[in-house]
Amino acid sequence: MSNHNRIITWIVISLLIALLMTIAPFPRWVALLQPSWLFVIVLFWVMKMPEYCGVIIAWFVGLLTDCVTGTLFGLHALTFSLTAYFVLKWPIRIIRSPLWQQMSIVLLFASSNLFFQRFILSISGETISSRIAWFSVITTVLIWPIISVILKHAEKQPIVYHS
Amino acid sequence: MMLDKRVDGFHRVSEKTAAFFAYPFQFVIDTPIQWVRWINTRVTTQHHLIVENSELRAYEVLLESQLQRLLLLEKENAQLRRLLQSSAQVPSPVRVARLLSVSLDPNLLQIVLDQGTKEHVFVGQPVFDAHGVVGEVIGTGLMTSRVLLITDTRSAIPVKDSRNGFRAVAVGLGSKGQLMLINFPNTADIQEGDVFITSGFGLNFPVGYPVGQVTSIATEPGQQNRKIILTPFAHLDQDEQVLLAWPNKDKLYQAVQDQLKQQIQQPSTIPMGQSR
Repeated sequence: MSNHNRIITWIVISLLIALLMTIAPFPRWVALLQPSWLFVIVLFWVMKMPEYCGVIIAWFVGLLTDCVTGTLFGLHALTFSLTAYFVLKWPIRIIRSPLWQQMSIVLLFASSNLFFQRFILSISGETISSRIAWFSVITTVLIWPIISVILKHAEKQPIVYHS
Repeated sequence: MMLDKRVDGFHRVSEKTAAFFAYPFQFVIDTPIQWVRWINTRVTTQHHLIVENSELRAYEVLLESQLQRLLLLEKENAQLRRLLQSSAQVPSPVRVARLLSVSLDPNLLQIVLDQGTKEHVFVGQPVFDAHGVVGEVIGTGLMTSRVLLITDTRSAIPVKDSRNGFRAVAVGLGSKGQLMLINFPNTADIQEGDVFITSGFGLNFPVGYPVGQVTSIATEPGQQNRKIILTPFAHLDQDEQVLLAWPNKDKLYQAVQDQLKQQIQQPSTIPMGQSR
């Protein structure tokens, strides 16, 4: 079961690093444009390893995001789990498709995620940011190739080196 | 989410658990930045330290002389108030708190302080910096607390003009970093450059702390009221340390008690239908 443990370690470490990037103190305009790190990581793992990371894990990660970013409690939980549900529902062979197709699907999900967030924030009367925050969708899509390259190693079997 | 928004008890519990779970991560982000700052202060040239030292000494002498005048003014103020038979204002105890170097959601104009319920921080507590009012505590955890800045759209502070005493409420305009005045009479004599201070109404902020200065007054053709924009004095983007104040409400409670006793003893003098 070492492969199982390895995968879980990869998932946890990538989520932790994404969490730390989310609360790192960037200047305000950078923070508005920064990619949604946790969203990208969750999306990647839900697409790649649905048996390990499903709607419930997405919900808990979303709740943790709410704790850490101080938004309305349960906002990110709802949007992350909805996105995970839609990803799992549509039988799209995402991981094997070419990169530009992957990026356009990520664009779709990231923009729907942001749309849901702003919608719920506006109907609950909380403050929403300026319109420039929509560009964070573009940065989210742009880091997708980097993330997929870094985390692709998770699925490979450990290589045995012969001396 | 709905529970959090509507039910205050749930919100307090969720606030506490959120602060509890978020604290390790905030600690991990904040501590290296504190180390960098520590190294920065330790590793400076001696020349720089000597220059800074002499500047600070000169500034200290200036502040001490101003402090003497302030104490004298306070004493005179207390005497005058006694003559008018109104209670004197007691200065409230303050404590310095440090901002954690983490950023919350950029939509929310909030900051995180390194003090929480362990240090008796309470929700609604006013927060200042050296230049003016910064905001109000809206959530406390054990180790940290969150402050809503005055520029957030949900924030409203009762203010008054320091020049002629006109009262209004200053609400935040969001990411622009400015405040807008509402609830003021249209005929009020407010000009550009007027300094607005807290008026003490709402019993939350102590009286007399500077909030902002008027930078633009716009008359819109269709609207009756003018649109007055203030720029806050506090350095909201650059603060590293802020002051938490524990406003002293003892005199107020005493006055309310006296009023109640008076009304109980003379019930016939109160006309029916008067609400108080």
